[in-house]
Amino acid sequence: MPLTTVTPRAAIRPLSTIGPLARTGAAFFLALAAMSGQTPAPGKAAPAKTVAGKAKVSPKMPWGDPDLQGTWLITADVPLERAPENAGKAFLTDEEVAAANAKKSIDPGRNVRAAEASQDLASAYNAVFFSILRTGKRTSMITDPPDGHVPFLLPRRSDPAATPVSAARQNDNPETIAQNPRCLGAPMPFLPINNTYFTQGKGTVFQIVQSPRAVGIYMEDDHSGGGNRVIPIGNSPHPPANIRFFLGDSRAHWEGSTLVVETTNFAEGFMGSDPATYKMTERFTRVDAGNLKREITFEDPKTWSRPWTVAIDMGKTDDSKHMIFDSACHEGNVGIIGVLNGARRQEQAAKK
Amino acid sequence: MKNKLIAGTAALAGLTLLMQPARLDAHHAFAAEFDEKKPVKFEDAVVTKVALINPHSWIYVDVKNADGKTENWAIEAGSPNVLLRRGITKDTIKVGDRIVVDGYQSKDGSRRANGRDMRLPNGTQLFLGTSGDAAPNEVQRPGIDTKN
Amino acid sequence: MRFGSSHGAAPALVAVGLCLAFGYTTVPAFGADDAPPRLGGKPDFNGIWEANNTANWDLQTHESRPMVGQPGIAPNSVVLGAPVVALGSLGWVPAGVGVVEGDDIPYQPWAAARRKENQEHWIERDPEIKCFQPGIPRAIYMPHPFQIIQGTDKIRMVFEYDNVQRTIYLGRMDPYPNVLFMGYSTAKWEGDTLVVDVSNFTDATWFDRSGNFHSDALHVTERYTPLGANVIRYEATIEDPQVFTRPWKISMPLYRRLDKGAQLMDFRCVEMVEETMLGHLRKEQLVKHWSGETMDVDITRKIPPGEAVYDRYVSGNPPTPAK
Repeated sequence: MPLTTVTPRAAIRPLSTIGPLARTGAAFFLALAAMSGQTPAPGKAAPAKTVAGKAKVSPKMPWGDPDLQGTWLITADVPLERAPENAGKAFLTDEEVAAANAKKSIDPGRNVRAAEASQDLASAYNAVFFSILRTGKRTSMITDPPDGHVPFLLPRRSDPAATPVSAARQNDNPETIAQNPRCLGAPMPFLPINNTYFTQGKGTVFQIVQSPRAVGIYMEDDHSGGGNRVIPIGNSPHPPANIRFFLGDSRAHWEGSTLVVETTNFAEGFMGSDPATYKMTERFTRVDAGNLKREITFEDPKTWSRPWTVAIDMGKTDDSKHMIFDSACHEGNVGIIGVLNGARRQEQAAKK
Repeated sequence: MKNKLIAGTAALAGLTLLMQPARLDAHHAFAAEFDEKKPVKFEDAVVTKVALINPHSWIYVDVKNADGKTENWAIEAGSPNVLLRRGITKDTIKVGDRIVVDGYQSKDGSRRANGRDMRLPNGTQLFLGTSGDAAPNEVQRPGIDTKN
Repeated sequence: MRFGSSHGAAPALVAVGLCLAFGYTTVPAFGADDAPPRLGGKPDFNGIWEANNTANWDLQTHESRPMVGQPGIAPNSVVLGAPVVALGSLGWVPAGVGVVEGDDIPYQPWAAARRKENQEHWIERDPEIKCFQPGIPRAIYMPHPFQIIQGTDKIRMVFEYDNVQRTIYLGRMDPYPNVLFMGYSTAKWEGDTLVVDVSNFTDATWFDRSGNFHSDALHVTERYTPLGANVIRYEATIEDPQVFTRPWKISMPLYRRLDKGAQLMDFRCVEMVEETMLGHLRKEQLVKHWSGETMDVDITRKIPPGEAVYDRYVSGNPPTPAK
């Protein structure tokens, strides 16, 4: 599918805490084929969009709100925290990015077979099933605190629900199988971590549908029907604190051209935080026709010494292309049957 | 129900290859379902059905067993959504196509195998991008994401 | 917010003023003028909706019957069967008027037999029990609310059941490269009716809890027409040449959920059904016994033999001829 790249904007979003984006072509952004894929509904004013690269104003909905609609793909591979070798350095140089990409392009990855059978089995499948993202210029998703690390209070709180299970007993029950093949989904907020080998959505792709009083964000996650967030715009109250949601409960409002989404009532805390005190605030800004910035601030005074913030750059895909798909993991999960049934068969065989 | 931390995964993690991340695939511990002591190789597998589903695609093939009888096997492959973003469709691999499968049989002895490596008879990997373009923002690896 | 009853002119004027102040073209409906709201020149379907009938139990007109039954003592009587006998009145499919035009679902002979078999084995076959994505049109008349988010080039419906969504595309799209449980939907407006074309189905969804099913050749055409501010007339034409002898049609009203604070709640499918679907594969059986005042319930789980253990659903496709 033909996709053009554009030099990223040098403009700074008002809420950005990291300073200007790269001025060179080292960061890759998607262009929006703005007009070709859209048939405006009759009677509707045409949105203020132009072909990417020429737009100075971000598009608007007919009722005046900024237009966040579309399927958004992560634009680059950025680790959550800054690696030790990048301490004090918020951005890689263009040369470093190019070198990393060159190395990735010739890495055969999983196509290299291992001589030892258990290692060979563990590295299924062919590399074609695993995407390698282009390296980003940022050295960490974390933009605040400036050192690029999660400001955990020490000592770290242990997860009260964690129950160590010995390797021999892992396949006794579905709840304890290694690597959790139960199709429970990724934890909110679907941070695109582990992007070097991203295989599924997990925050690397989402699709926004937007109305005057609600925004829907489909996150292509394994959880139930797919990580479907429904975000009312307005100041209606959250449900009582004892009512919990896997995706949390979100309420949004506009601050200028940014949609601010506050989410509470989580069933589980992110990165070990306490769901009773954990809160997440996202800021979605349509930077220009081809780009969306998603900033997330995490707060839990029981887990972190201060709120911390990540920034994730997303690029728009062509509206006429299908770039986000079904995530019916539970429906197709015969693998968990194989694990359990295999273990039961082996136990029976051992008894004989 | 909270996900439980598994202390025992340290043992399994030790089996991972040098180039693989610690968390291979969010859905699956292959060593738990398939048996490394039961490798299978099908030199001339004829595709009978392709199901591009999550969490793992399945490619069904007719193969001739040692007695010359035809058996149908289910070969497990990776998640399809990455492929779909590259322009692969459910019809890219067609019923009747011949493929070569290298894998490991399931621990319960059923006619299922983990498709460790799947290629065309000429050695080309299956599921290369049809248009030669990787999905946006992917590094294009020749012979992996694109044909050349 | 919607206000369906008459409150007089003052709130209407305030609302109109606010809408105009935000440059927003729809006007909420007040009082006796129950006109449907509009968005961009078209009906505005934004909001939370729900059907209110027994279609999800049984698309056709039916008397009440046990969910799982067995013969009773009196001639031609039935009683609740073992899996549900503790539930009393809750263990019965409630009677209801059907939603099928002509009350007839025109199955081919092999399919009529399969449908009967599905109903007899409902508790083991119904994909709703497994918390699978319900497909279209079933998602529309599940006994749970769903929310419509109407954008400019896409309309999304998010269903409380399974927290699943379907996205309806209004613009020009490439063909969809795969199949989906919820089908793939494209739409256009015909006057004030949204006409939705749904295809690319799997063979794994049902139409109701009575075993009504389809193949992967299913094609559905839906029509959504406003009947006032708080009601939508919903119609769906079902075509599947592998299963039925002709197309057939269902229709029903959908009602806006006017409850204060209405929102979709969580629906954690895997946690809900894991014991039911995988409990037989545990090393040690977990759910074994329950004692009530008048009965003890003892459960024995068993593993289906051979490859049958992997069956997650019964395909709705016609049986393949034996080789």
